[in-house]
Amino acid sequence: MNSPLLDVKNLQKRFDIRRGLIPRAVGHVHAVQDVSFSLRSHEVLGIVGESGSGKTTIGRSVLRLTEPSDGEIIFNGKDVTKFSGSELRQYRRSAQIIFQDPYAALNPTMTIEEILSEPLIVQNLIKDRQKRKERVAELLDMVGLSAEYMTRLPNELSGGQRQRVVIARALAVEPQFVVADEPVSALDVSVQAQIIALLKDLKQRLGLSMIFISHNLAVVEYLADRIAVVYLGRIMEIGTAAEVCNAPKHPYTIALLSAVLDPGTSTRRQRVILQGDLPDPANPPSGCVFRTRCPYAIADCAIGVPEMRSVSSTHARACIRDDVG
Amino acid sequence: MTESTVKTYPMPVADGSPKASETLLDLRNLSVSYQMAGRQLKAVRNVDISLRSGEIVALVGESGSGKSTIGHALMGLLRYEDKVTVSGTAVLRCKDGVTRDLFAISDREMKRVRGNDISIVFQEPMSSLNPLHSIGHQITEALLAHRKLGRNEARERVLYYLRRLGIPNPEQCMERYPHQLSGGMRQRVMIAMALCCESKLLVADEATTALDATVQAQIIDLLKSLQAETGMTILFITHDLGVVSEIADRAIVLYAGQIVETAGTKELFDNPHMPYTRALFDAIPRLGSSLMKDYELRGIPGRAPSAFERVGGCSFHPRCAYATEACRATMPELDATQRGHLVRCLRWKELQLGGCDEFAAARR
Amino acid sequence: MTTVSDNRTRFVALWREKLGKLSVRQLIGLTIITILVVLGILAPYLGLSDPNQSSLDILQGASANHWFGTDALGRDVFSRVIHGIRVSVLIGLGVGVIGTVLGVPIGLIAGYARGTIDLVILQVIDLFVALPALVLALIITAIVGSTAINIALVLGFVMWPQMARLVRGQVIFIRESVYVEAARALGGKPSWIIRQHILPNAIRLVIAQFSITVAFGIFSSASLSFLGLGVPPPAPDWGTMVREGVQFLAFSPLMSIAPGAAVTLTVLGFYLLGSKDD
Repeated sequence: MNSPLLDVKNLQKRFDIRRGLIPRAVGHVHAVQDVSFSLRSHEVLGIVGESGSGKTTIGRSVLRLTEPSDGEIIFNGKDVTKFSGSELRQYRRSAQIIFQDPYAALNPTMTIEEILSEPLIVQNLIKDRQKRKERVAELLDMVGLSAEYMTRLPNELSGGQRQRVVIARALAVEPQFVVADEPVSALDVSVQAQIIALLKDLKQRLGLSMIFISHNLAVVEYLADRIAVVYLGRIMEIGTAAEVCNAPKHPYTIALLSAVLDPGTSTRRQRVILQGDLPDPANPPSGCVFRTRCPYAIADCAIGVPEMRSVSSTHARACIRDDVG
Repeated sequence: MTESTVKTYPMPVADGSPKASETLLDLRNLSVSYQMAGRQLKAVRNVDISLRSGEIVALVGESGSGKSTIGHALMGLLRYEDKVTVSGTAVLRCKDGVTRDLFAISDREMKRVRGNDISIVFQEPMSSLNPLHSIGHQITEALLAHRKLGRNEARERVLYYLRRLGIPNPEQCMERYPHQLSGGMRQRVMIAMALCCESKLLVADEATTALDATVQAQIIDLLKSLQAETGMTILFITHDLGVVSEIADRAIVLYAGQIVETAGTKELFDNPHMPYTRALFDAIPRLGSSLMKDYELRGIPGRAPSAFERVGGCSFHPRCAYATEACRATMPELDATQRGHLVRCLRWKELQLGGCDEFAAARR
Repeated sequence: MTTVSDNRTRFVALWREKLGKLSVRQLIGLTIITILVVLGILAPYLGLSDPNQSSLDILQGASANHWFGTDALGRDVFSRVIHGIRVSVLIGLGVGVIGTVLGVPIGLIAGYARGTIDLVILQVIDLFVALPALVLALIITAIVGSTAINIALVLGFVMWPQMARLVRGQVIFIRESVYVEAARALGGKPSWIIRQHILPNAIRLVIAQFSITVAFGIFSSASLSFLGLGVPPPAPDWGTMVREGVQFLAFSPLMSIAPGAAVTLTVLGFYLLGSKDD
């Protein structure tokens, strides 16, 4: 297999809890703890988790939109966390983001042409106005919109059309990989499928690599080659889409799968009901962070943070029990 | 005393009859239109819905389908809006045995009906809770507004329902303020609040949409078991077909303000007659897709028309793969097929659409 | 060629839309100001008597010759009120410009930089806001001397914190928006983000606050003049006119009332224009 495009090692992100007149850190929330994964060329890696899992923070840290507290992010042999100034700007040509809310992601005062020209101007890619316009038309065409939309303002577009513009903007700099942060969860079901299909098509056509972040396992399974399941800032399980979704080895993945409400009547699963709510991230449980809600928890789970243990060459989970799944 | 008080609150059984087939709410010819920029925009067009006691009925649709407008009309939330016209009748059999037309009664009567005979749970509980008052204060006040109960009695009842909704340590929860609770907890509190008044009809407007999958699953299971116990009727408004198949006995599919198909849930999923319903099934990513080589997710081209842009003929025809000249020209009426299945499509008899479980069959 | 005309119709449509977006209050304000400004510009050409020309017809009541009567030096009050528009509005606009030129960049810096810089600027702003602006202006004017330019400078100087505070709030709001984050993710430098995203979105508020500042400027300069620290005579200044008229209030009330009403009307016009949509 080819060497990874992106190699994330022991990523950490702490957010300080500040209090007082002259704010001082009185504690912190560990949003991301010890997260390691890699992304290969032409691969889609899905990151699945519920709210508070740190999945968005992982994506933003990889892009340096949030400063990681610790760890390495190796891209093309260089550590992204050490980048500054021009190196960081250069990196932004290689790594892009697609946002969740297409209503908030577009400046309401700019036309679609101006919005799609922004990356070309900011990254100094095309100086000639006319050529820039041609490129904008090309980008619109790529995401299935006609050139007529150039003169429109965002509020004249539907949610799905806006999300296409957001995707086109991310692809304008011809990035090597894209972080898609819940790109369809703000859209209607029928439009969601259009956007998912577009992303899949772009992946095949452009050989795009992608980190696809979502709370919806079914969507991730459809789009991703490999999936990482995160809970309270840690990876619980990682493997190919088929392994994670069809032969899960971590109790949390099993619970998450059983919570997916599949339409249709012949596929009722035995539901694993999780007890209680997500623990306070500022004060996580000792040992395995999932043990307080885990139906398989035993006394040993409280002792140490479980290490990632391999199931196969592609599949690993952070659980001390062998009899799960 | 307290012990026995708790015990004396068995869930009320809606009707004596186990079959529960009596009509609770009969909604006839509901139309809702908005006056906007000098134009009449019809958000809901000639909708008939009849709810029997003890049913869970799902009202399914995408944004702009009019599903929430129907819920709001039922709750009388549109009567204060001066640019909205509601027409039709909604005859509800109230607890006092009197039947009332919700669109004809006075504001005062509506106030009594709301909370007493109908309760609603919204998508975002934060906006329905007052941040300045403790949870206990709010639920107890809401209950006392509708019921002649002593304060202690009311408190006991609130505690009972909080406990029933799986809230750990309900006494402590009563002292908390809304912002101190997680989204799942807040939604449970809202449901407890609705249940306290023991109304026969619960309208759940996207009540689980904002929740995490695992929490959503918990709450749906809970609602199902509470329904089985109390025999209340639930109108579940949602866009999520997964939720529909999980909770509903019957589903009503809305498109562009009209009912386009309605049937028992199993019948609808196994044997959809309306191309829109079928297309929705194809648009939902299903678990197990990684094992299938040629599985393609198919979106529905275009988008649903907004109330501004009504389409002539069948309102779905611009997006429909089966549309013909006739579909562009004539608006189809709701047609009865079998087993209470109604469909609004000119071509339903000739189309063989196939059910939702084709996928599951292929997966196996 | 077609694109040019397209752009032009688009531009016209955009402005029509913008005017249409003004509330009734703002439209009333705009109308008042337009009438006043036109009168002020045309004042020398309206065939009014020279506002500084004294005569022996002192302290006359309203008549066909002198609509608002004459003052203690026999000058025509109506003519002085109309010519006074120029003095007042010019000082007001000066205050607005200075307040904006100081306030907008400081607000931008505070909002964009955040951290210590923001904290320091915020303290300064709060200090200014805590002091009564007029008293502050009175003291400074007394020190630097009251010329028209000084008055505009001083009043602009006491008004910048309001503008800065408003801009800061707006900048913080916009810089947290997803589209600014998108611009950062694309590698946009702060200068680009401010120019392309923050200013265009803040401009509406700045314009509104500018109008409010002008209103404050007109009102305060009239107050300063009333207290004897206004534009030096014989310039037709409304505040000075009110003061001069006070001693004759009993038998020649128009001498004070007319310029007083002019101040009220002008201030009202700018306040209405700058008021938020209701």
